[in-house]
Amino acid sequence: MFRILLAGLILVAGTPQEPSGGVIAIKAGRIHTVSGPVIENGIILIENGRITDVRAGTEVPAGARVIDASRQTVIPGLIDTARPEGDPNADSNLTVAPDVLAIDGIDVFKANRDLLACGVTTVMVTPGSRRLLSGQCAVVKTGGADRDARVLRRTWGMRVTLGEISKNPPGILTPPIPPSAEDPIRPLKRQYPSSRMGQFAELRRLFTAARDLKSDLPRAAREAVQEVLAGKRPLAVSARTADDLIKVMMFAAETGVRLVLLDGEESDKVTDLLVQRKIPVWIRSALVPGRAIDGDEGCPVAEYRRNPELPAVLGTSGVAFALQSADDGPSDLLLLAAYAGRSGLSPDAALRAVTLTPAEILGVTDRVGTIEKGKDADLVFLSGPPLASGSAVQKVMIGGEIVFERRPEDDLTYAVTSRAKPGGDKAEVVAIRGARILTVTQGIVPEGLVVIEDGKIAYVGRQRPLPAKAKIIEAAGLTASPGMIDAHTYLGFHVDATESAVRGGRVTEGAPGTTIAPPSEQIRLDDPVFLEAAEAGITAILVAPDQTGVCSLLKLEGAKATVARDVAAVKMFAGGGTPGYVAMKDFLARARKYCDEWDGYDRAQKEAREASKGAPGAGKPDALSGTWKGNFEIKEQNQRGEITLELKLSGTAVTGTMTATLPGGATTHGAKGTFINGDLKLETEATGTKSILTARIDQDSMKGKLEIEAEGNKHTATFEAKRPAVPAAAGDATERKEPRKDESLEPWRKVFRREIPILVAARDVSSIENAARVFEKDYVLDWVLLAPDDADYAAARVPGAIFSPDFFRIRRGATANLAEALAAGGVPVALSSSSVSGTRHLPLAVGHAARSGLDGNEALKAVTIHPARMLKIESRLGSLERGRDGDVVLTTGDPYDLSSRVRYVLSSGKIVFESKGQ
Amino acid sequence: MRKTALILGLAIAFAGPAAGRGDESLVIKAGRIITVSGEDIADGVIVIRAGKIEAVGKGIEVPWDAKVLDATKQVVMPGFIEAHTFRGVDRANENIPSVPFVSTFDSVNPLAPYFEEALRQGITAMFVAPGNGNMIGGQGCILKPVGSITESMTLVKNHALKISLDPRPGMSRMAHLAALRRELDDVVDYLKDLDEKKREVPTAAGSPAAPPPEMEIKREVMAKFLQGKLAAFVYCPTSADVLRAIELSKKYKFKMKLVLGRDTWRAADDIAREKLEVILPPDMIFWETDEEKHEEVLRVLPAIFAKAGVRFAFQTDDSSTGAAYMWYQAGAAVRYGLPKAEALRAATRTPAEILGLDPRFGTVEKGKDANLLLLTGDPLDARTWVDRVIVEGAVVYERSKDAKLQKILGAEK
Repeated sequence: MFRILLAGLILVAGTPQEPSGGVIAIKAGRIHTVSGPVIENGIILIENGRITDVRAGTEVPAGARVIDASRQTVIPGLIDTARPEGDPNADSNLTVAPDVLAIDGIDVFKANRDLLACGVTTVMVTPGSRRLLSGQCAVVKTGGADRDARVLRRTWGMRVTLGEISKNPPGILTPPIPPSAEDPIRPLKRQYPSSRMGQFAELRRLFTAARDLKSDLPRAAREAVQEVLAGKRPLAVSARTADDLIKVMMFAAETGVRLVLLDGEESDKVTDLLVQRKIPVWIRSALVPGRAIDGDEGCPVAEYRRNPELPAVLGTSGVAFALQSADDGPSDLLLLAAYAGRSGLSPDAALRAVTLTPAEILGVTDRVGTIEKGKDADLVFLSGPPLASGSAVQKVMIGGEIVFERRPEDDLTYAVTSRAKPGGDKAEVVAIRGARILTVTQGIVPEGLVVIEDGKIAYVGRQRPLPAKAKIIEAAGLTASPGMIDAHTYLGFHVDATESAVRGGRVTEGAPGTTIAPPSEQIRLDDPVFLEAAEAGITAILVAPDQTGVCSLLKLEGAKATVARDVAAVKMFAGGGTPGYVAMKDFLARARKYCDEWDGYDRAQKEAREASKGAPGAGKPDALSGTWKGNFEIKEQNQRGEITLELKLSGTAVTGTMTATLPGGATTHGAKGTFINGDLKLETEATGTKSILTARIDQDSMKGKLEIEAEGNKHTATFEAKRPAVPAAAGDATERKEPRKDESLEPWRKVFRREIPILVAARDVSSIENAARVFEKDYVLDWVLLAPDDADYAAARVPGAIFSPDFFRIRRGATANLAEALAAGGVPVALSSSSVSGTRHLPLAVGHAARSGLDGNEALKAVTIHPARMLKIESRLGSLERGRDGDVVLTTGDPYDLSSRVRYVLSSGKIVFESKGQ
Repeated sequence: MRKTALILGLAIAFAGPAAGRGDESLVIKAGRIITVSGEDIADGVIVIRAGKIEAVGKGIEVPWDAKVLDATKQVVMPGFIEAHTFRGVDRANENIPSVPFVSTFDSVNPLAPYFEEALRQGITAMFVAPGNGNMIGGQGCILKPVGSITESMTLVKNHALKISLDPRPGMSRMAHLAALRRELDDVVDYLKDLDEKKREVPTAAGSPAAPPPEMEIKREVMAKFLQGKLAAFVYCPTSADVLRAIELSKKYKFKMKLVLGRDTWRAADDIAREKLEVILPPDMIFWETDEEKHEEVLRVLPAIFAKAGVRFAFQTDDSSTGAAYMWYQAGAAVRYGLPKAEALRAATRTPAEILGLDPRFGTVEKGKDANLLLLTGDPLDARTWVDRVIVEGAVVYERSKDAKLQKILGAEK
């Protein structure tokens, strides 16, 4: 808000006012004059703080200072009621205090930013509401350097409050100084009223006293009441219940005072009286936006009934009514006015209820209330229609002076929360504002905002506050779409530079003519062709060899491209007929075996590593340690049993337990022994028994003798036991042989893991069907058909197709658009250049496809989300959504429209191209 | 006559060293004289006779019978003047809002520690006013901190009325102002009535002449005030109150000086425009959160008012921090940008002007009262002591004889 800048008071930081002389011209997109019809694209001329003209047109007089509001809506400043600062209920003790002036409670040095942010330029300030007659109201403006001009009415009407709240005022104690026998200290003087009859009686008494010069009314009070009686000032009465309303209207008729009703919650019940007596009502909104409704000030009994449709009822019955915001501080008056429309109030009537009608009630229509010649230049600049929920107050002008301007800091959420992230406020932010956004996956935002932070899209939507350091691209009238993806191109390969590499270079034992190295290693990333492609709006390309091999995905980010994935897809050719099928199947089998080998090896490595980390304290599994289970047999006694040995080997010493299970039961003994050179000797001792076990260990099995000495008897048993196979120790793994690496088959590991697709070039139906059989039935893999001739015949079996610009065929004498044919059948279709230099002309292919029958949306998808999904990179590319790379193309029309021109291209948040001139 | 002489004699006996009063002269040889009215004088001489400064300057001839005070290593400056305080009394405020007929003359306690401390800190005159809690608080007196009974301390009795625009807790500003206006209107009406009655009186023919109506005693003070014979010191807690005070003074045509609260700096230009003199609050340099930018801003009231061209005086209070001392206030102002000469003036000359005492006090100039401080160093140096205080030509305080101070310092110099 612009501070009241007093001459020389530099310490009050503010923004300088414009000189009061001179003409100001406002070019507004829409003007709601309230006094007449809405003016589209109009001009408001202001001189010396007053409006000198309002008209349609764009001609501005020479020498005028122009304020460009061509994208904003201008309405008159709003009029609301307000309380003075401080405790609004700190009224005087007197139940009737006509000489208390609300204007004394106003601090002209206060910025009133909260009122101005809601567009309120004039307020009627009333004293408190806890006394019957709390004082005189004032009408002031909420801003402006000229303090005198801010006061519209120093004293307006006298505020009376009926209802429970003003009953039972406190007593008054005025001891005489000094007290004497003639003038003793009297007890607290009780004040009434405590009932409605008391209220009216007190008012009548006041009026009578005002006429009597000998009464003890203070002079100022008496003069003020006399003015009310003479009709020069109204009585502003807050009455809420229907019978209070009726009674006060009768009272006004009886005493001849002019009446204005405030609050009037139940005035819908007395509309006929209101219309008949032409009494205006300034109704109060029941709601405070942003606050829960918590009841009538803790009152346990409902005093009056609130009708949510009150505004509409009053409007239709012809009552003059205005709308004020609820107590407790300013609230959004326009929002409340808009909400009143829910019950049927027309938007015009709603806007009038907060502008012209309150001005009429206050008697200040000579200065405020509408945008008309001769009135004060009190204007509110909105970002949209006045009653639209998204419209925000952007500027407020009072008396020709801008007193409020919405700042980014006014919506502190972004500033506060982004600072919470480490380095959050250092992020590089680019915002594209006002464009029509084709998100591709989430619909179209007609006029929205794209925010890119550090190269990734952070927000796509209607509106959001931006950090101060954001670079803003004003894109009104332009269309934003994701950067295009060329799904199959040879861009970057040049004859001299890469011929040998393409045609045979580092071929090993793969199939002849197969490229091994990914294209990303063979081309120059700073090749100027990439910049050309980027300037045309293509931000990602899949560079493929012209033979079988690996394809790389590059991001075109301006002068230099970056490698998004060096192995992004595998390209292969499918043959037709049985030989073709067999060849493919064999190749895939080989590739599969290779992958399995490697996967097995990797898995073994991983498990070994984990096992060695695993069992705590077990140490390395070795020849003896572990659990041995087996049987033993005492031949002489023909007894059989089971034996379990839990052993641990350290060096040559063995410790553990031995459990022998006999038909009678199981016994476990601790055991100790030695293990040398494959021979185990264990001794167990327990009370009364002693046994010696000798065995020979062979890998995981042992055989031996068990001599038991129990109760003086000696028995010998034979036994054998086995140990469950332990996974190969880590030490073993290093000895396990690593499979041979075949560079030509390496990429297939990713294919089998379904991380990348296979681009299958298949010309005819038979090849397509072979491919379908191999990749869908025999092996389930992700694949896409490249440049198919007979694609339409095989549509049902194809998961996706990448077309070159050559997608027309003659069928039965007519031209068929194969891309459209597949798309209509629900098959995802991508368009590519499939050439060495055709990438930059990709938009032509897109436009051509759209022109020839392909749905515009499908055409756009063909270069955005479909290739992204095919290449399994939709988490980064292909749509304008949160989290994707900041690749945006701004065009003058739809991107698939042939005559659209590219204005801006952004790749990873950097501006790669910016068109110059119109 | 003899009685008077005796009393006078006793009075003189009880006063300090007699030199400088009567016909003898007192001469001070000073290392530096801060005159406040002009340039400092190095190695100057001040000649005092009959309580007044007879001569100030360099190389002045010393009368043969003069008693010489050696202050060649000291700094001499005018005594500080406190333009508004409510210390030295028992309670500053009354219970009821409007008591124009009370006076601090009746509540001053000459033995209060404040007066003793005042001498120690170099304050040679003070305006003791009622507090800020009453709407119309009564009258205040200008005193000097020398004397055992209030009468002998008084320089001006009932110098000005005190009005406060600070509403009592629980009361709104509007109600407070309405009540104030009621009081003032009441007096205006009463005076009008009285005028009419006075004119009416000699009409009844043949009836015993009724005595002309006299003003009620209670009303006398307010009458004087509204007739322009008594000025008011108006306390304004916020900037908006300053505007209201200006409005009231114009409407009711009274003269006023402003006693400011903390948040009044925004009205500096209005005050300058009306050419009003102000007394700054004790809390005059503070941090505050700027409303718009939500940043912490340092407000330095002396600098703000100096820039706006307003004449101001410092005020102290009984806090335990530096704001209790006049030299500290001056020093703080200098620290935050006020030129030193201006700061010293705001503690000496300007308060004298505000209190209307400038013919006698406030500077070291020929013809003015000899109200001087002899300081051991620069007045704004925190290590400086007030060595001696001279009031009306008599040495009324000597640090070497200040028992309390010597005890605190452990009898060290």
